[in-house]
Amino acid sequence: MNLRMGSQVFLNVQIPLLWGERAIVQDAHDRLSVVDLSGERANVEVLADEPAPGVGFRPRVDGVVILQKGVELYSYNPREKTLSSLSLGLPEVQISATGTRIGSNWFSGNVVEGSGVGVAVSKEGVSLGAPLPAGLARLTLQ
Amino acid sequence: MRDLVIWAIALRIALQDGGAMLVSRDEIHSDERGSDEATRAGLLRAKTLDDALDQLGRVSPAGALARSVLATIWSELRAAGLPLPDDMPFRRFSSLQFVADGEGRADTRLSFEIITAEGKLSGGAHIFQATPTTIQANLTGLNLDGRQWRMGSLSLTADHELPKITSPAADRMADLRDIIEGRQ
Repeated sequence: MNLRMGSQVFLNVQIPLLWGERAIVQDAHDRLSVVDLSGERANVEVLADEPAPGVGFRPRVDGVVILQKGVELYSYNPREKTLSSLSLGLPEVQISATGTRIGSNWFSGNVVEGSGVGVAVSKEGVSLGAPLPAGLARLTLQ
Repeated sequence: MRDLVIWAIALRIALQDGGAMLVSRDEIHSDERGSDEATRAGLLRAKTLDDALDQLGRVSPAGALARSVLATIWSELRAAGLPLPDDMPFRRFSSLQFVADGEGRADTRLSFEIITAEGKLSGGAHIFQATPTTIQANLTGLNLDGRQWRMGSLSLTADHELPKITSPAADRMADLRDIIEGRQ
């Protein structure tokens, strides 16, 4: 896919931003979607800034908490475009018009072309232009 | 080190001003070890802004949503024999979980504890839109003052529509599919 997101340009990538095992995609209206790729099939959890159908969540003052079997996975603040891990052990990600903040790192104005993953965020660190990790579901919607 | 500085400053502010609240998920700030010290200083502790609202007696967004879901079937629950008060309580819900359906309606699971004229009524509830015009409510583990209420469960349907908590998903899903498949 080709996408401009958080001031980065992604050309011919399969996943622009991978947060652990979740793909993050931004649409033309700046709304974020989060797709869990840890299972056999892609499962949309956040759909254009709102909880996706069939996904457990709890609203809170600054957005929503996404739940899985009652466990709080992460929160999403649609106003700040910020994903914060609650039990995933991942650094916070914020997408803005001027850049992408991952933990305390700031990315701005990069072009990533021809990689499996544009920006890969894991518990261990951040990679710009990474291969697609093994074992993830394909980013396709049924 | 920084967390201890925050803790010391929060205690100092609480002592100076006769009370304060620290909102933090940090273990140092929220676990039992600091409980006595916080109480002595008048420092309230909350892990989230929603916890803070609860402690201030305000309704959290999740509590408000649970209340609006229950409001749609409150009269039916009373008519089914549950000894509920006329007015719904504001802050007696826990383990709240919502799931939106394709139209954005709020499938809701929660536990409740309500003070009634006959004692404390507690239990769990699953409330969902069974048909486009019918709500189904399944209540389980019903206890009144520590004893099982009747059979301990209650199921009822009501001709209403649950409140919508998200916009309908179809257009948003189509937009996402276009992006993923490179059509946008």
